[in-house]
Amino acid sequence: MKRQNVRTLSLIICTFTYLLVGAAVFDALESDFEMREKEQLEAEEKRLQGKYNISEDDYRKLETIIMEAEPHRAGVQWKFAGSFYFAITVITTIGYGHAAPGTDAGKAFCMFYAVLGIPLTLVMFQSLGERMNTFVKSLLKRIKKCCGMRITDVSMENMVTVGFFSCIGTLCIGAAAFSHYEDWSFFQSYYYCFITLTTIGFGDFVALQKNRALQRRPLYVAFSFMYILVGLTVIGAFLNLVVLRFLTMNSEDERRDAEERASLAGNRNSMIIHIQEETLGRGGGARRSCGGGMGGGIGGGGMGCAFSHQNSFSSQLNPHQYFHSVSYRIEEISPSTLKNSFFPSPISSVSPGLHSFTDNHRLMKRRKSI
Amino acid sequence: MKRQNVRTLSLIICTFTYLLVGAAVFDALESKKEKTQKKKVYDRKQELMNTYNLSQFNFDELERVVLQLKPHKAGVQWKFAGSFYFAITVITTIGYGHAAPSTDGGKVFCMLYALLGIPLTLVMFQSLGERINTLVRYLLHRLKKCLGMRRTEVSMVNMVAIGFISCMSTLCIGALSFSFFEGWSFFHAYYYCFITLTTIGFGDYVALQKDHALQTNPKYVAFCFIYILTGLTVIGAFLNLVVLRFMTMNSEDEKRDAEQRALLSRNGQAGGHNQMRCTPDLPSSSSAASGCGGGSGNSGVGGAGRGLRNVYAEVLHFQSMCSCLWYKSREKLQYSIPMIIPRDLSTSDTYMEQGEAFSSDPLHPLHSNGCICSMHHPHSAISSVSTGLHSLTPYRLRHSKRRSSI
Repeated sequence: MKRQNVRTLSLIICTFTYLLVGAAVFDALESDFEMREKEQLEAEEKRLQGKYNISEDDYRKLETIIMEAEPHRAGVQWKFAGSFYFAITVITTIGYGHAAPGTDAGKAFCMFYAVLGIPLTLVMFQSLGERMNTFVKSLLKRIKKCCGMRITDVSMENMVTVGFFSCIGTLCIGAAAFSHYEDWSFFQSYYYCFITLTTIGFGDFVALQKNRALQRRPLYVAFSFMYILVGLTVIGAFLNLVVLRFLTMNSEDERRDAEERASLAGNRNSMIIHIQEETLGRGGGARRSCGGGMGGGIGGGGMGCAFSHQNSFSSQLNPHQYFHSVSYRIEEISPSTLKNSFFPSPISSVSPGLHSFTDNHRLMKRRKSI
Repeated sequence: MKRQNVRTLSLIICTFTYLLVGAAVFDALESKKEKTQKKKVYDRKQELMNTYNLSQFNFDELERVVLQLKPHKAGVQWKFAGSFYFAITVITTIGYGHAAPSTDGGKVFCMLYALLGIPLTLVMFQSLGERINTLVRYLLHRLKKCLGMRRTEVSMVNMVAIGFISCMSTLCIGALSFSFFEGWSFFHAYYYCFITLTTIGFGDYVALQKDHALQTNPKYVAFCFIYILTGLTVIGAFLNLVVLRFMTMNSEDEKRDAEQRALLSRNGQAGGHNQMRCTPDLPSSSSAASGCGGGSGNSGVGGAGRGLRNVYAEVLHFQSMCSCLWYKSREKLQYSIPMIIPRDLSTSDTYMEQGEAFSSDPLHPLHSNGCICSMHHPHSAISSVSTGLHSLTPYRLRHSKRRSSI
């Protein structure tokens, strides 16, 4: 099967397995707590209902009111500062949901805003991330030179290590800052920073929601926005370093396959010209000698057979023809096709093409000298 | 300034401007309603408090209980089905927040789970998206043939149009289904699908939260999961088609610059005697080194050698014309020839190494961007696509063959 298809199928299977395993573990970790908490809260609810003598209907109303009041509790959400915060959560796809557009017009604008904003932001973070990686690489090289190390090249391991530590550092700085300003524990803040910077954004912890911070503490607001954007850049740089190449793997394989097919198709003309240059117009003659088989050496039969096989070349060739065609193909195409196929054993797997090719050329040379 | 830096700076400025504009518009659209709604809710709250003679403290107590009960009212969130739903929202980064881990152990596992799961999912969706694009391209090609059109190639515009239409249909199908199953209006269901499939995931609308659907309606649950994953694939395919190339632009420019610098520095030193990139695995390994660099000095080449040089020049010229091809070819030939891991023989890297042999040739000056823009192409009969292949193989191997036959 084509490499890309195998890769894609394995990834799908991996992801599904990963989901199943995750679901099982979350179930094991949270179910008990959920049951206990639910019982406790329902008991509390009943108690309070009884205590204040609230009827069922009224209680429903109360519930609705409380739900609706929830975003307002945290402060004014849609003045400029709050809207900016919201806009950040949209285009970075964090999407806390602490504030969500209430009007239909707001919802519609939100969708259009996201359609343009999300790709812009993706490209911007990757672009900036790549610049950062390049800068870090040059810094590291300078440091290595200064420290007088022998090898001053910056390896991938170096970069990954630096990237990883930057991510952890960013998370820790954020955790310290938010645990101070928001009065969360360090662990809760760290969890908040992690969920934010991976753009998951549950919304169970949201910054700038206490004490009307959005309106009253512009410095803290600015810090939060900068933290989110810079943190996303650091994470983006790490992703650019480590993950981006995998996102383009299938496309590159596909491109390569297409180029091989193109060179195969383009072979006919080029081959003829080539042969004419080399073998003094024996191209036509070669065609007739196709039936010579392998006895006459690889080149003789190979060339001719290759000619006649050009048009009918496919990936399903019987070994004889294939062998000849392989030697011919190798000459014209990249070795990439070789990896997709099997090789007749005499040819070493490392550089079969070259051997067969050189054989061809030897024969071609032979023809010239005749 | 370097192209990459200009690009990055412009993007940063664009994004900030976009944020400012967005904030202003959201402010204009939502502030008023927020104010009126806040007042209304406050009034109703006061009314209820008066009816039942609740103090603020009592009300806060009630409020806390109600808010904490909210996820529980929506159903059991952490049994297997609910956990699976949650796991999906984590690794796809949708993150509704309708259920979030309460225990510390759950939070820790959630972070570790996301650390591995998010890249896995990103790569999976892009991989699958690329496969879908290829399939669609192929189908369209066949369709064009069937319809008897003259030009059967599938253009980028075709692909983008199809991608766009698929995205819209996915959203509409989802909107219809969820508006039916969840009792939302079509617009709200569409908004929900959009917010979900772009992975924003506010959580203001969340499926599977009514009537204990997670436990009682397994078919609908399965539909939701499949819809989310398929929808993300369709969006991922569209992103793969349209956006991914921009994400790698800086890296490709950087690679190109690095290679040009390397070339220039080698041109400076070597002046034709290049031993670096030659094929050490050729049978005549001792002669291979000189075989590679010795092109210009090899008396045996004679007229055929000059012809080959021109062919080389044509290759390089062609590749310099289209910088996309340049990027591709540089990228591909990262291994020297004997390595079978698929890399084109035809590509420029090795040529450029050996091309320096020609660089001193006044007819084929090596420009600073590493391209030979020679106007002289005596052997233009050679087709340009696979020029490299011709030039490379006969050149290298003829030389090495010559030596081994001596």
